[in-house]
Amino acid sequence: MSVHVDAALLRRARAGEPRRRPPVWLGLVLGLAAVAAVLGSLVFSYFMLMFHGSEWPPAGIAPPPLAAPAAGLAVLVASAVPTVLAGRAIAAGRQLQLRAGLAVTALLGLAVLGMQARGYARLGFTHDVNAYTSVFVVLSAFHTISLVTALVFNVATQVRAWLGHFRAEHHEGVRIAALWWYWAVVSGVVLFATLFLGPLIDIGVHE
Amino acid sequence: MTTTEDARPDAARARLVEAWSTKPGFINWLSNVNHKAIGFRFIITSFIFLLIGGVQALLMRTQLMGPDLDVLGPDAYNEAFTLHGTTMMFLFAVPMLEGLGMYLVPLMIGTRDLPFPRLNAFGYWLYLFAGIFLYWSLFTGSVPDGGWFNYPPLAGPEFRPDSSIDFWLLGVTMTEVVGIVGALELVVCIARHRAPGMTLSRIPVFAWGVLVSSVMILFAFPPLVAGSLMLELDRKIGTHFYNPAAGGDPILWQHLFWIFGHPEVYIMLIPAVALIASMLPAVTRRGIVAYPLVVVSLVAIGFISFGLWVHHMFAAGLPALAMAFFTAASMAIAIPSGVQIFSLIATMWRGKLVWNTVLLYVVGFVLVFVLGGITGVMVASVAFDWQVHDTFFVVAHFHYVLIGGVVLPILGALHYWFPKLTGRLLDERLGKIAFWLIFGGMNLTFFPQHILGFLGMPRRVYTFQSGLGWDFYNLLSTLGAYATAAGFLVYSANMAINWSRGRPAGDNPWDAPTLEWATASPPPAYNFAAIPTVDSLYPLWEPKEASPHGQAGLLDDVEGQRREIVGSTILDAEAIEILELPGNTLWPLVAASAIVLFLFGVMIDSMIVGAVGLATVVGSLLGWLWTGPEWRHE
Amino acid sequence: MRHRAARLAAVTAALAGLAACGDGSALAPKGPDAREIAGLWWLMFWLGLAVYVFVVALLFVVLRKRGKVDEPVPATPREGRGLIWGAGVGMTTVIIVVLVLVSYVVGGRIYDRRGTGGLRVEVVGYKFWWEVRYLDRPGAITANEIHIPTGRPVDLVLTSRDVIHSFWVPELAGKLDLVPGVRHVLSIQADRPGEFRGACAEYCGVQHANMLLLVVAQPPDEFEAWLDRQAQPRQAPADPLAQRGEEVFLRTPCGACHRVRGTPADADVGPDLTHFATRRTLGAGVRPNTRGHLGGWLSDPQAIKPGNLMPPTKLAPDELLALLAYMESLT
Repeated sequence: MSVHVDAALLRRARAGEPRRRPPVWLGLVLGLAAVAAVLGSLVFSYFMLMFHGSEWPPAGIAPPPLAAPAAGLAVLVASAVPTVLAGRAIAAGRQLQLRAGLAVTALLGLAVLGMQARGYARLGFTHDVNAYTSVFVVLSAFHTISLVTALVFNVATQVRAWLGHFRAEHHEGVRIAALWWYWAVVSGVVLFATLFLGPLIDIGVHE
Repeated sequence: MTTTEDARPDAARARLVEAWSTKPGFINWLSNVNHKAIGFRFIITSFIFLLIGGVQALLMRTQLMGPDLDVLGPDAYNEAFTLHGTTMMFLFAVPMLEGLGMYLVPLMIGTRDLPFPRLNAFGYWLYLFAGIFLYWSLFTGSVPDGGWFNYPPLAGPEFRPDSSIDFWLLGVTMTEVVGIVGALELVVCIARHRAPGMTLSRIPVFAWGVLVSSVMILFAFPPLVAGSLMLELDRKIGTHFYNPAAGGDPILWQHLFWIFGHPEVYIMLIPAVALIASMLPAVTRRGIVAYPLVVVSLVAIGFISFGLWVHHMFAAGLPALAMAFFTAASMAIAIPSGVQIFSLIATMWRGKLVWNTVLLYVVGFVLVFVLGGITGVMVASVAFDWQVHDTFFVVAHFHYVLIGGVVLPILGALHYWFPKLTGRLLDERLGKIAFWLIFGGMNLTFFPQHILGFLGMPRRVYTFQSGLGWDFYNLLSTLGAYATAAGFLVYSANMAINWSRGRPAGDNPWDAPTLEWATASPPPAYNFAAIPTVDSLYPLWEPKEASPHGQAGLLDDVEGQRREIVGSTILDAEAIEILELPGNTLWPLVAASAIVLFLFGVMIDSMIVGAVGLATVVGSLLGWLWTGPEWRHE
Repeated sequence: MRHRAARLAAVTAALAGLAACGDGSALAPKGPDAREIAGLWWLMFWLGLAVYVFVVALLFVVLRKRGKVDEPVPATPREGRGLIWGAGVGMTTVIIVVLVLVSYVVGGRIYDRRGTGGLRVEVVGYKFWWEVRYLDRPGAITANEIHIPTGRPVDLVLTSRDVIHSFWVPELAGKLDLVPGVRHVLSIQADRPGEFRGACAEYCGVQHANMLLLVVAQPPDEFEAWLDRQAQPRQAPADPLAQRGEEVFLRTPCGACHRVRGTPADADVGPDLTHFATRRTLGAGVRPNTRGHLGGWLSDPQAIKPGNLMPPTKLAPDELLALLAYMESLT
């Protein structure tokens, strides 16, 4: 949907009132809520499987590392900053900063993907060994896919930015791409906590 | 009250018709994105699935008419009850209610279309393809037979290595996606596109019901999507989520399924009860009693229903303390349900009843649903459920609440809104005959099943032995099923006959109070000649002081061939913007087809087909987004 | 008219209640758990009936109010609150609180009986039969028929070797699932001697409908005698025909799936047959254990229970007769 303003219609609106978010933004929030519920169900499954067994990770699987994933998380969280800056830039009409912010976000996102690739290569197990490896790999893949999707949105938005589609009063596309990026960051935090901090919980069953 | 059509200049109306209509032709029919067309298709398609599910039920009841019969062998019977449950729950009930929502809600709240018409069209195509996909299993000879609840390990890779369960998992997941996009659309529509002046306390009850159930869908469907994804991964790539031999947990599936499954039945019940509440004013000649309580109790039911799911697992060996909580919660939901029922009765108390088919369905709803609700409170007790869980007592319970609480309201609603959708009235005599056959038939079918449960008859059994004392009640139940089927035949015949030959209905044959009755029957493509301003819960019963066509309604003309709707604020429905909607397009159909292609590739373990499908999905999404109005900057 | 409708509802319910008390019914309880649950049921039944009659009566009062079609009236704000708060909220809440409390008490008492009887029997679910092992008497293994002494609770330790099943003997107790990888305990107790029918109550595949079982309650001394017998290996057959039958049993695929203690056949793919002749049914309750039915079963179990995991066995007529004599000797 595109939005245009009927001056006569807004006669009652107070001067200087901030533009409200368009309905498509609400639609995207609701859609992300549903995706978040999928993620929540997967996290629920992780903990159900953890408390179902007697050892977590099960015997023969090394506990997950913390340092490298934490570094990746730091880069991911940092990538939110240029996205915020890009949004502020276009709201003030600064096209160059918009493009720069989006580009830096993408570069940081690619760096995170690179770190994830390295992590997958060094897992030491495949998805089909036992329930722990299954849930670990699938949850990780969920985040990788979320990040890739956010990157695709980001690149499409960069293309549009270069084509000059956005103005200070009209840049819903930037807001929407930003929302997807925040989702990738937030889901990364949740999954980091689940996969890398979760095993530190003592499940209270000792041989 | 005269409609807002009268005083519009013909030229403006002609421009509205030009911008909003879909011309005839097959391609145009495929690319139609208007909410009435899409809603209509959902209603027709889901009604057909209702009849198909009914045929499966009839086959099952025929096999169980007596002991040791051979009408259906064990495989066929198990497939029949799987398809029956799956069809009724996933292919009939939610799509029908969403279809009614898609058609009626924009009309009831005074707008011209749903806010994301292409998404809406996409939802229909994906739904149609999902149904075809599931039933394709009949042609490949691998019909799912794990029950509609599909528990592993039985449904897992070890015991069902063939593709039958994959048809179920992928087909059902597609219907889940349809439900989610439909829900998303309806929430945004009700939140941001109400006619100016339609504050929260003036929103029609059906719109509230749709709003609550749509929000529920957004949180209830994803657990099943996640669970199905994990089971499909177990089956296809060797993960071990549900495999106890490798640390997996079959009970995990049950949790995920029922975290979906319990809200699911309330997702069906809430809009259905809201339908009853919407029809009641017209047949009692007064507004709903205690509207705020009715709305609050709908919301309460929605919330509480997320905390009940373990009552489907009382025999699975969970800790006693946990189960005790779920007993209390499961019984507690009877309180807002009671508020609903007594509000309806109170509304009828002071009214002057119009004794027609619609009223019969309202009364039928109360009689059947309340009985089912009472047995529901009974099975909420853990100790009692230990006896009747997975027996015909539970089958009786849920058919009473589902037929009473969902099917009867839907049948009544179709009868009530048929004139608006088609412009013709249904025959009252046939309508009443159909009602009595269905009402009497379902009671005869399911009441004896309570007894069978106590006598020891478990669910999902393809036959039973003689000499157990079960023969008589099974026979009664089967006779009831045939009577019910006859009722559905009469009901369908009524619709088929009067579709094009019924008496013309006029705009408002029931003298009903809500906005959809202010349009022609069927409504023009643009719904309202001008977006009305609303200052009452019953706008057609309380005409404004100034004549409606003395006011300038919003959007009474079209600029440059664009389809436009009003955007209003969430709480007070103040008009703040005008939004342009996309016109007809084929991209939704292409995207839905691409998804089916991708899943088909997964099904047959073909990387190539899957990859092509995925690429087509991405391509069609890009095409979809690129050609929409939002990419045309001004 | 309203009185008639309400009375009709009450009479129908009463008749239904009577009907449900037939033989084998959960409402004709033969043990303390089932009896407590039946008591809970009758409390809920009378409360539920009262509520339903009330609603029906209200409805019929209301339905007599037909009038000419008037000018419609929006509801006034205070209307109906008495009925809604009093009945919808008040009455419902009171009934629910009562039922929750009684339900907790009954459930608690059922839980408390577990572990108090001193007798543990492991029941393992297979598609489509039940393995029964007396954990306190090594070697006492049977299938599809569980004997218990009267007058004390017996702990059934439930698990499964394949899919989820559920153990249900309505006359004695509620049900509990048999889940692979976990062990659950269900307690059953019979007051007096008798035979109690049970069935699998969780859909487990194509022959779920025919996964039945029998619980036989005996006076304690008879039970002990039975248990002693079950713990013994098979008595070597004296009759030459039966001896030939044992030879057939060990030569053909029978011995590859079934255990007969005292012979080399030691597999547990299918039920333990050491004392098969003492069992009242065959095929997990699908047929009575008589010579004719056994002959049919051995020749082609798929004809009787299609889809179960026992294949047909090609036997010459004299081999079949010998095998039958052998099976009848396994007392």
